[in-house]
This record gives sequence, structure tokens and C-alpha cells, in this order.
Amino acid sequence: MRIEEIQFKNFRKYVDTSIRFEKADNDIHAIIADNGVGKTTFLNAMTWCLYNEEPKIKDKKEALPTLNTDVSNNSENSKEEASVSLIISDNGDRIVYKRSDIYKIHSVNSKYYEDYGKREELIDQDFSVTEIIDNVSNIIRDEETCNEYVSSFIPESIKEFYFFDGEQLDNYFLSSSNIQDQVFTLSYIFLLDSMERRLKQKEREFRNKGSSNEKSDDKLKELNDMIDTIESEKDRLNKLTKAYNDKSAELDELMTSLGTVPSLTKLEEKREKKETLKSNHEKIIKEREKSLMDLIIKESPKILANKAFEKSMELIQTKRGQEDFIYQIDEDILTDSIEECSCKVCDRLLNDELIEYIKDKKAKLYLISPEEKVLKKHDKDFKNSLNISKKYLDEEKRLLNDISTSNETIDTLEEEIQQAYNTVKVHENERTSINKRDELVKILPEKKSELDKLSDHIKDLESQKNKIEKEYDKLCIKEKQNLDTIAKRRLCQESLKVIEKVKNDIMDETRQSIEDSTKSKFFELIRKTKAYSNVKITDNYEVKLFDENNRPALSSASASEKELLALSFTLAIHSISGYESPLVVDTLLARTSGVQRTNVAQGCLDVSKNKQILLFLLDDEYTKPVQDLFKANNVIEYNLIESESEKDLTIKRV
Amino acid sequence: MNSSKKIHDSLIKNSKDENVADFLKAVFIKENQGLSRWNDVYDELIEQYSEVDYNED
Repeated sequence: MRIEEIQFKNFRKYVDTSIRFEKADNDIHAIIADNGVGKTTFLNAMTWCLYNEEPKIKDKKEALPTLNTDVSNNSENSKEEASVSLIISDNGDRIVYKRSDIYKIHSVNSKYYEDYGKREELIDQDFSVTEIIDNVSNIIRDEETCNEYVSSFIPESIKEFYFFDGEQLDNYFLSSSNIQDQVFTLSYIFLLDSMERRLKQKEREFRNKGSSNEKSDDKLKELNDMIDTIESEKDRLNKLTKAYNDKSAELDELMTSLGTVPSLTKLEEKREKKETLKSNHEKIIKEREKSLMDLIIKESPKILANKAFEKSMELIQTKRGQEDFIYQIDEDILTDSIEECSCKVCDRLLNDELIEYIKDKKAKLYLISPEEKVLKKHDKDFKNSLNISKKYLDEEKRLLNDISTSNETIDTLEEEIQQAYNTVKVHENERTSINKRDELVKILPEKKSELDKLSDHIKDLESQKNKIEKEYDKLCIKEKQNLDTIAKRRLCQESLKVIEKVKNDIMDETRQSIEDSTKSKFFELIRKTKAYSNVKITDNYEVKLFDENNRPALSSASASEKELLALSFTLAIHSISGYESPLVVDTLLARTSGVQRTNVAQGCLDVSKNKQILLFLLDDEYTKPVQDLFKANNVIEYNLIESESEKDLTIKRV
Repeated sequence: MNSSKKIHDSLIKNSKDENVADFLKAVFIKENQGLSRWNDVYDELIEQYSEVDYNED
């Protein structure tokens, strides 16, 4: 189906004009006009014709009548008509939708004019559909039938996907619940909802009818209470699931926008710990410095004497080596004593044992000079003193080491503390988002666990309910007249199970189909193969875009990329709707510029090979590169031209 | 395949019992046409399609 022609008569600024859309290689038509010239009126005219709605007019009471004011002021007739006709072609056949507002024109001398200050009075509205098949026309005026014809072209419930407003792009991806409702309408899920609701009511009715005695009454009450509990828990599960999904989505967005920004709170905690550690090291330094001072004061003579001791030891060793010492002890006394077997000191006779003893001592005897003897005596003292002073030096070294280590640690800590300060300062204005992110990272796993527990709990309850129901049925079956009611109840129950399954399958299938189609179309239009890796549609119809590293990237996508994504999503909805109707797009390019603008324009050209597109553009959007692109592809252009009086417009094909 | 037909076929496919399938088909067709007195329509169809098992005890 495509729009072949639109005819205007006295509709606001469109007094007597029409526009014909011929199909070439592509089916894209650019209607160019500046702000305030009549673009919005044109768009409103189409929706007014089909749905009696002018969405761009916020308050009808504050708006001018549909009848052109010049016509109403200057008319010499008693009646005038404002009308818009949309002529649609469908495989050779034509359908004409025509809506007219009929006005009575009062004279300037009339009481009406005196009371209201205007000549025109809306007295009627007419809407008709004319079917032209093989040149034979059939006019339909029955409201219900006419609305069915409108629905077969573009149903009102999904018109937002066919009359696409580029200026509302920011809201496009936010209105997921609205999109979900519309998709449910398109896919007839709303009918399944209705069937489910009504069958539940009937099932309850039959359930309550079955009981005929006190025992079964009690059991029925138990059963009803259990069913109510299950319903209530299921509602709670749905709400918690939705809340969880919303929070997950929020977390995804925060993760994208914040990137690797750390938690400021944790950073501040770490910084505080480091400051404490730094204080501790400063204390250590003070203590060590005091100990060092005490050490120096107490032991400095020994420490200072250490050098002298070392020098003395060196001298002793040198002297020893040079054999500078004069030996005074006469070894011959011992030799003579041994040979003569008598002591040369006391003349005592020596036995064998004593002789061996003297021999042994003689072997161990070494000559020592008086000087060396003195030094030898002090050797030990020197050595002791060296050890003591070494000990003190070691202690001094240890203390100095501790001080040095603590100083190094303090330097490192100060650096880290400063870094932490700087990081916090740089990201201070994002603190709220960062805290939100951190909170979500913490609570989401808990929420998921809660959901899982609730889900398991519901399964338990259902199990209990089935048991109670069986017991109830046993009690009811005892009365033969209840068999009929039981059979009806079971039919409702079995039907409800089927409906639940079908609903979930259709919802999944529809969502998947939209996702696949959106993704395929988006990557076809975007021409950037590496920037993005995936498009997903969530269960509640939020559109998600992922970068090459699979991170959420919709917030950081450029305006033209969002335009193309919205366009792709819209076309996906078209494909599942089964309505191959035209796409009317208002101000698509205003939010883009340069190459991006040309890309979006090229995207529309690509789409128009299989679908009619009416593109409403401002002069400012219609830049030379876009013009050149459209001219090269034989896109037909139309200008909206205002008369000198600014009271009417004509549409001119360029 | 249009959405309405998809649901219609899916209702039949997922009904283990032929009787339930027929019932759901009938209800769906009525709902698609629009129901002003739904309770009466549902009662009629339930009456028509419910199967009593007189041997149940």
C-alpha cells in the first residue's frame, strides 16, 4: 500500500492544493519547508483525515478551526467545507479516505457573529471511504466499516510507528512500556490477556460452585486462600523482577557512562587507612630517632673508640707478622731440665711423668716479648671492645635503616594519598552516579537471590495447592451433580495452562523477531562494521546497543546512530505488524550533521527501495550533500510555498 | 504469517487435548470479533466443550 495522492480543500493554510507521489526506482519523497510554513499542518492533515486527530496541536480550544480563515471571512456561501483526502493505491485498486468538517457561515451582521466574533460554526463532520476497484467506486459511510478500512491501512494503536517524529528521538528509547503495549496490540497478545482474565474468573466461579457441605466448604476455603496467596506472590515476583530488570538496566547505563572510574567511597577509605599508616611510620621514625640519640649519647665513647680499637688490632697483627717483639724467655732452661732430669730452677729431680709434662709444655711454649705480653693481655679487651662497639654500630645501623625504610614508606604513602585526593576531586561531580553504581553492584546479587527464593517458594505453594485441589475434588465428586461443575473447572484450568504457554511463546518469538530485524537493518544502515557488535531488545522492549567489546553503548551513540537505530526498530515493528504501509518521517536529519546526516539520508534511500517514505525536512536540514545525494538518486522534491498574504500554501514539485 | 493466525495455530498446537484446542479456537475467534456479552458467550462455549467423566470417583 502506498499514498498516491493527498488533496486539500480549505484545510487550514491548504486552500486548494494537492500533492501526487509518483513511484520511481525508489519511493522516497522529500517535502521541504521552513519552520512555520506549513509542514506541521501537512502532517496533522494526514492523521486528522485517518483518525480525526491533530497530534501537533496541544490544545484544540486554543487552535484555529480547520476551515481556512480567509475562506470563512470572505465566503458568500452559507456553508463551507474543510477536507483532506488520502488516496491509497493497493495493487492496482484504490482507496480514498476523505474527512470533511462542515461549517455554517454566518453573516457579519448575525447574532452569532456578534456573540462569537467569527462567521464559521462547525456543524458536522463527515468521514467516508471510497473503494475503487476496476474503476468502479463504492462509497462507504458506515463508521465501523470505515474504521476497519483505516485499521487495514495503519491501525490507530500503532500509528506512532508509521508517523515517526524525529524531534521526539530522546523520548523514543525511554518509552519502552508504551512500545511494549503497542507490540502486544500488534501481536494480539492483548486478546490472550483478555481470554486469560475471563477464564480465571470463570474457573473461580466453578470452583466455588462445587462445594456442597461443610467439609468441602472448609477445603474450598483452604484452596481459595492458597490460590490467592499464589496470585499475590506471583504479582510480587513480577514486580520484583521488573524492579530487578530496571535496576540492571540502570547499572548497565552507569557502567557505560562511568567506565573504569573507581568507587570514591572505597578510595576515601583506603586513603584514610594510608594516612593512619603514614602516622604510624612517623611515630616509628620519632621513636627510632630517640633511640638513636640515646644510643649515641650513652655509647658514643665506645663507638668512637671503635676505630682506635680496630687500628690497635691491626698494629698487633702487623707487629706479630714482622716479629718485632724481643723475646726474653730462655728456652734452654727447659731443655736442660729435660736432659738432666732435674729442674734448673729448684734443682728437684724429675721423674718420667714430670719430664713428659715439661716436654709437653715446651712444645706449647711460644716466645712472647714483654710488649706483646702487654698487648696480648689487652688483645682480649680490644676484641671485646670491638665486639661491643660492633654491636652498637649494628644497632645504630638498624635504627637508621628503620628510619630510612619508614621515610621511603611515607613517601610512597604520600604519593598514593595525593593520587587518591586527585582522583576524588576529578570525579567529585559524578559522586552520586558512582555511589549509585556501587550500591547497585552490591544489592543486585542479593535481589537476584531473593527472586530465586521467591520463585522456589511459589513452586512449593503450587505443589501444595495441587494437593489441596485433589483433596477438594475428592470431596466434591461424592456429589454427582458436581461432576459437571468439576468438568467445566478443569476445562478452564487446562485452557489457562495453554494460554500461558502460548502467551510466553508468542511474546518471546515476537521480541526475538523484532530484535533480529532491528539488528539486521541497523547494521545494514550504519555502515560502521566495527563500532558496534550487537543490538538487543529486552523483555520489556527496551532497545540496547552494544559496542565492539559488548558493553552497553546507547547513551554514547551519536545522534545519527540513534536515528538509524530508531528507524531500524520502527521498520522491525512494521515487519511484524504485517502492515506494509508508508513511513512518514518528520525532521529526521535535524539532530545530525556532516557525514552522519548523509548516512541517515542514504539509510532512508536504502529503505525506500521496498517501502514508500515521505520525508519532511526543514530548509536547514536539507544541506547540499543531502540534496546532491537525493538528486543523484532521482528523489522527487516538493516545496511548500506560502502566498504573499501568508494565508494559504501551495505544494510545488521541484 | 499474521499475528492472529500465529496465535490461533499456537493455541491448537499447545493443547494436548483436542477438546481444549477446539474450545480455545472458538473462544479466540469470538474475542477477535469483539465481545459485548462475554460472560454469556464463555458460559455457552464452556457448556459446549466441557466433558463430564461420570466414572470419576
